[in-house]
Amino acid sequence: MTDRPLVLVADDDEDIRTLVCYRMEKAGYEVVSAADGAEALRLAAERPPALAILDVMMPKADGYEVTRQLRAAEATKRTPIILLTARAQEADVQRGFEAGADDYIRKPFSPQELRARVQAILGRR
Amino acid sequence: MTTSVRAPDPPDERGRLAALRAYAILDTPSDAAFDELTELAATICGMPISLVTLVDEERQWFKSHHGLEVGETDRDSSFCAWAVANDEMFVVPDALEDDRFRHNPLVQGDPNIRFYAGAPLRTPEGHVLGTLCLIDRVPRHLTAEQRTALRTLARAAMAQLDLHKQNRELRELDRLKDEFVAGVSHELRTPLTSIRGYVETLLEEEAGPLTADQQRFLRIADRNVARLLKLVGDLLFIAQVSAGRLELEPAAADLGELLRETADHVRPTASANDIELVVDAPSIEARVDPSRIAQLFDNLASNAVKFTPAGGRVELTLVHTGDGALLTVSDSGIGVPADEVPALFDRFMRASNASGIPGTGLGLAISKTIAEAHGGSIAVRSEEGKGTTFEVRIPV
Repeated sequence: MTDRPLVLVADDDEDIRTLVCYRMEKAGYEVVSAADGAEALRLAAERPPALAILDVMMPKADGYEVTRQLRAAEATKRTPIILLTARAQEADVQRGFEAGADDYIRKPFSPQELRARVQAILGRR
Repeated sequence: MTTSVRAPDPPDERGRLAALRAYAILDTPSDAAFDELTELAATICGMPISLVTLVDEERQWFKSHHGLEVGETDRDSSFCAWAVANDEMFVVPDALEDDRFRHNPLVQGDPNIRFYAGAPLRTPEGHVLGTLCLIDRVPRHLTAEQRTALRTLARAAMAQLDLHKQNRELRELDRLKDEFVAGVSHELRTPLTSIRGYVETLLEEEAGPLTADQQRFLRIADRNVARLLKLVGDLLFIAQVSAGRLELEPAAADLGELLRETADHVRPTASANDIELVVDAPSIEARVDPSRIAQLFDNLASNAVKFTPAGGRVELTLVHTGDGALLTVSDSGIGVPADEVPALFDRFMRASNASGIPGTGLGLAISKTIAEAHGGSIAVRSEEGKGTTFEVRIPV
């Protein structure tokens, strides 16, 4: 076990997932990653993360669905969730908040911006 | 006792019905273009009833019905179906004297047809979709002139049908194009996001220290990715606007602050090119979509700097008018040829003297859309070789 907060990263694009994981590790977090929504839910049930970064468009269960299911489970009821969305439309953002997300970042995002949002939620270390 | 003798199907019935479907005209609202033709036909020939009839599988449907209340009747009792099978102008001088129609319910009862004349609506491929027809309640004959008039009007009705079909096809193509552009833009974003993120990670030396050359080259890569991302964003924006899906996200904003940020964006380029940048941006509170307004300001300011030669001057001025804010962006740049000014806000429009200066011709079209989406307007004055002034009005 470690005292570093655990961040769950879920994105079906391997390159973006690798990048987000790399930046989160560099920022001092412990990271687990998933390539689809079902895997993200399995990992979250195994070990509830301190924060989840979810891509909206993922196979098996999309980011909205994963958000809803995390909110429905006792262990992850209050886990902060950041959605990554390529769709810049207000309706999609609204859907994310309705599902229970805390924040969203539009693609294309800057890794620095992502780190700043994560730190704002988890507190600077 | 009324019975109908149903017209035989024409030999091309299947192809004919497929063609009728392709016109997608059945059950569409009435249209003055067709109503004028039936009214004219009735007037010229002195008949109470004139119809544009389309003969469907089991009914005849009227695109226009002058002098008749009903919008369709069944095909079994249709006179026009005989005209379609006949493939030529079809005339029944007196229905009571004709075995095919004597017991027809439309003859025995309302509308009491005695005389019928129908000219075929023939597609360019040769299928007869229906007729332009004339009906009277007394036996009649058509003069040669009236026959010619009826044929001519039938051709005009067919031309209208073709126009309707072509418009529909063009709209569909336009929609597919917008969808394609939006889809491609989305697909381009993911890899670009990836490239940008990795380049930024390297530039921040998260992955280890860089030499000066490595820094320099990565910055060039970064700048070009930013350019591509902007282009993709612009294309997506245009596709969304074109598809009527532009959604503003209004919020309280200070227009002066947005303009000062824009000035900060263009200042490095301006000073690198020895252009004097003058900014007057007082605070004006407004409820706007801040990112769209920033996009509009950036577009106009970067254009002004881009098209102004070294030693020139660019002024960004914001003033509060009675009912809104007025932004003026004026430059001492190359200007726009007078005959091209009216088309300046068209998509992909680039002035003929702009070649050699990078750009896509989307910026001003986007700026205009943003201004209008906010209930505002944009105007331009330009003199070739002297400079250009844009005025944007936004209600606050």
